[in-house]
Amino acid sequence: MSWIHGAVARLRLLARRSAESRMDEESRLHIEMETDRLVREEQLAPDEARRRALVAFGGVQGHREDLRAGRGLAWLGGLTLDLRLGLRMLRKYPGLTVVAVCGIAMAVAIASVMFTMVSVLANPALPFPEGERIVGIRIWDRRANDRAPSTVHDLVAWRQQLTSIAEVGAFRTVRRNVMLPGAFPEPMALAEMTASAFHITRVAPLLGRYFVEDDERAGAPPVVMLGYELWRSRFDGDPSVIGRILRLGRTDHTIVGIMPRGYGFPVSHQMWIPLRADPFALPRGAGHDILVHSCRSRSPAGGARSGSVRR
Amino acid sequence: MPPRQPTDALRGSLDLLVLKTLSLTPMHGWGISQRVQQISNGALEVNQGSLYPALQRLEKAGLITSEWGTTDNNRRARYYRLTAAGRRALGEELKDWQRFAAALDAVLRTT
Repeated sequence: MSWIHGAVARLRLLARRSAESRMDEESRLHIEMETDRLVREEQLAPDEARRRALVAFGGVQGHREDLRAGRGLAWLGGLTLDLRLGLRMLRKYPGLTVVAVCGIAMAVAIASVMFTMVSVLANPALPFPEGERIVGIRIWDRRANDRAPSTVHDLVAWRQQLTSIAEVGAFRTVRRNVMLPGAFPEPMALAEMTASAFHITRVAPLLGRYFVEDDERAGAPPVVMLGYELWRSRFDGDPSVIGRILRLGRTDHTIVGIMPRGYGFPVSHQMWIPLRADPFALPRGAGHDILVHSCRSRSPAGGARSGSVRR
Repeated sequence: MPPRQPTDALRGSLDLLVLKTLSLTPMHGWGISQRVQQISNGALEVNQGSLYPALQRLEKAGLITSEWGTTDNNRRARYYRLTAAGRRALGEELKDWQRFAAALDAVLRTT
């Protein structure tokens, strides 16, 4: 550490020193030349000549001050002195220096982590337009103190009955064997998601379209949407994939759309198939657990978040 | 002419004197002061205390540059030389000075 301090202090002084050594050399030359001239032209003794030359030149120190002031560096004297004193103290007590530097580093780290956490907690927002209005709905089982599963029936009920919420979407993650061109079938995580979830995020597809409610009907032709990263890596970003068939599990799906770069709603998903949200197909309370995850409240998040429904 | 105390070069005219002297040949500080004295027949004396600050000021303004050289008697000296900008400035300062001198002259001639 100390060599850094030394180097910094030296660098700062270097510019000044070179200017001053030049100044010294110039004034010495001037005095010598003047002395020579006086000896030569006025036949003075060298000592007397030198004295006269010095008097004529004036106090050398005085010139130095003038020159320094001329360079606008007078303030530097005091500042560098302070700096050098500070650095010297740091060097003299290396233990104290280490403790102080570590202490400051810790304090900065803690403060920045705290600030980040508090700002995220105080103002949670998803990276979408008006992302702070997207909230999740969960059913909480107070006896088990755990999340109770929500089903398609809940989704339909909420859609019809929640007035403070503009749109309700839902998804669940499923795994399917995906047969991509030129590769072995591999199981991948897909989001089975309602069309409304795309409206909630307000992100337009890069190519093609996203799901419409017709896609959610039982018996509708199966469709799939791809994320940008998957599209680039597996389809070379080929725009003609729209309309092509992709086999997921045992079903052929038509590729209908590509979402833009970075889109991974709800949780880093890169493939989406429609969620068949048909409550009449299943008895009440039955069906897969879906996460009603994506709702756009009509008011900022606070209002919707604090509401709870008991059942 | 009776010997008179040499006049200090006026502060405003010092730059002009330095530039003019350097326009003849590159020179070190002492040489400049000697040359001014010689040319003016000892009537003008460059105050040595203001010569070096003036040189530094002119160098900072880019009108002159300097480099180390050796004098006739083998001493290391800083030689100053006029830059192109310095030559232009000299022309302008000369014109200014002549205008000023003519004006002063006209006023002083008024009877």
